[in-house]
Amino acid sequence: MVRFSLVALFLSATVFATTARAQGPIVGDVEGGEFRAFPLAVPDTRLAPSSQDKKGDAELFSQVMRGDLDMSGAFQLLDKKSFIDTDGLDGAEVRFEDWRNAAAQGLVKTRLTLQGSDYLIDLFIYEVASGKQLVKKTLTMPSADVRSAGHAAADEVFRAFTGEPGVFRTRIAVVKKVQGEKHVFTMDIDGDNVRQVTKGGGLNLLPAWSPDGRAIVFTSYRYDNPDLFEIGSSGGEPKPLSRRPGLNTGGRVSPDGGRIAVTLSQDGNSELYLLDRTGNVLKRLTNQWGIDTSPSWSPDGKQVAFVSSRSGHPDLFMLEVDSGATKRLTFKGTYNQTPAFSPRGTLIAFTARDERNVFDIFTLNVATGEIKRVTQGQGNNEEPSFSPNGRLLVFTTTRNKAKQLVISTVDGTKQTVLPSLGEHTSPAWGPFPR
Amino acid sequence: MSATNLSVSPRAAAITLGQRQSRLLNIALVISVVAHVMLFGAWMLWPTSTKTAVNLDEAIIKTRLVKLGKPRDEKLLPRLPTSPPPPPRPDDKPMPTVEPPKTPDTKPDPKAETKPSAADILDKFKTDAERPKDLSDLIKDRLGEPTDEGRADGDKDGSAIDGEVTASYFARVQARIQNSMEVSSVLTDEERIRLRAVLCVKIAEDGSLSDITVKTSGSQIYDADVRAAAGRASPVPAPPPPARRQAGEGVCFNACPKSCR
Repeated sequence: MVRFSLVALFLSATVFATTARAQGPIVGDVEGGEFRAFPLAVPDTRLAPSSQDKKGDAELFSQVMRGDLDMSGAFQLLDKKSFIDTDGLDGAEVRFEDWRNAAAQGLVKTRLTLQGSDYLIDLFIYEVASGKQLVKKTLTMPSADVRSAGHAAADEVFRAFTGEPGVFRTRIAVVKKVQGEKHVFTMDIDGDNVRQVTKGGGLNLLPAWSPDGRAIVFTSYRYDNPDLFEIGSSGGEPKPLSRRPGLNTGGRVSPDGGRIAVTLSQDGNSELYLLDRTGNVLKRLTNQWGIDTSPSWSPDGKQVAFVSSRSGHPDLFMLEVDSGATKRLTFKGTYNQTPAFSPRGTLIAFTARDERNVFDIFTLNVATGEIKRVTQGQGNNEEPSFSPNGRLLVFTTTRNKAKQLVISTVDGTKQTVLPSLGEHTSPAWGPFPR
Repeated sequence: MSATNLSVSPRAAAITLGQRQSRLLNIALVISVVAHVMLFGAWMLWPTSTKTAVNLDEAIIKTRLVKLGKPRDEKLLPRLPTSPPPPPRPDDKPMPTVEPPKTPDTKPDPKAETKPSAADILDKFKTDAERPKDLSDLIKDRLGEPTDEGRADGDKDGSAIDGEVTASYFARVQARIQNSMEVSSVLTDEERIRLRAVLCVKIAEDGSLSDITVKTSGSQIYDADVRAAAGRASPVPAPPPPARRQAGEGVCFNACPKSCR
């Protein structure tokens, strides 16, 4: 026994010494590197033996989930032709060597089982290199809403690999032209499941979500003046918030949900005001000779980015709500407008007209003032709005002539034009569903 | 007789004169033909025997288009490059250069300025990898022949140039791995700042990497990125003799998604 222990000790020491030798001194730092999408294999959804007649639903489910993950820009979805999906779904049944050979780093396997009026969605998510199972869970979704099930599964996949919540079940409010009128609609982030929110009133413009996603603030000409209204996000009767003389536009609800920053021109000049949720003026925020408009709240609710012409042309400014201290943010370009604060508070996306008189999307780093271009050479791109996790932008584009919506990564490396009919303006990305 | 000889009949005189004139005419004719042939020949040959006045293959007006050196107005919005710049080759990374050893007691030697740097030595080794003797020669150029006592201005622990060459070599390996690095975009902003892995490799004499190990950063995804980068970077440049022992025993690199500082 003693002899065995000595041999074991000797072997351990030898292995330790070898390992230590293999470690060696640190001779340099490998820093940075090109960020690239994460190679992810998402084979077709399988059907439980009892649900073999639901092939169409399984295909739609896979298509929605894959479309979401691709649109996120975080993943590079491997071509289904590049792998053969004949192994099992769970743990030891998965042949990770096959998936490594297909150059996958992540693997998502799903199975649908119809149970009454619901689908049970078995979700298996793996990190291929280590063979580690990141997620194994079953989602229950109404069988009548397969698309929502696909979005929900995509959210789970996104969270499994990034640790951040996905935005695939959020909705986007947008203004669409319908039979000579303009109305507020909401849609899924892939442009599907479009629902009309406002009815009547002629022109209904500039929608903005309340932080809980239950209400939308918008401007309407239903009384022949641009007045501010609030409406439930599913529709209903609009409630007037501000019907003061002149402009009542660009209302934005504060992150705490208690205040609304808005542009009023009741005193002759367009200025920013703070209203409570019933429309009473709490405070006048600006008092300058130029036009002040397009407020956007910082995520902590302490600052408002806005557009002012006080410098001679439209530029972005930042206002401390409590103190009223204002500073200019943009010094490049001559036409900067429609600021949108990132939910992370680090960036402001905005529209700027460059020297070729084309509108494009840019981001401004709040801390450093650095401006980066998101779009270039693809028609006019305007009115950005951040996704609630801060990873994506939605904006309008004329790259295919008609004004469509684009979902883009913040650096512009992945841009997806949403297939849609008609002219879309003023997109506003809604909050996470509650 | 003389009278007879002197007296020439008019007919004979006319014949003689005619013959003379005919001969002169023939001579003139021949001279004329030869002259014309020569002129014609000269005319025919003239264009090919000398350079043409205008070479049609050459542009009449030679221009070189240059971008005017007016800097882009600071107030203009940024532009995206139309195409991404090519990634720098790993061996293009500027290497630390070293000054020739100082000899304060003697006058500056003009030859010392031409002595090769550590990077020159590595470049020479790379091109003449099969003849490592050249490297020794180059090192000798820098240090002179080794002596039993060592040089008065030398390092007591050995040759400084060995250390320079080794450091330069590992900087090249680091650059090669860094250029192969692709970081998964699924990493969160916080992870991009926080993560730090330690990559350890052994480098064979042919530059191939083996025993690739990663001390985990805490993110298996980033660990896999680092391991994959090392795999893509192999083979790295072959280690020069001064770096071979260390390379064979193994070296490590910090690896960070953004910055290790």
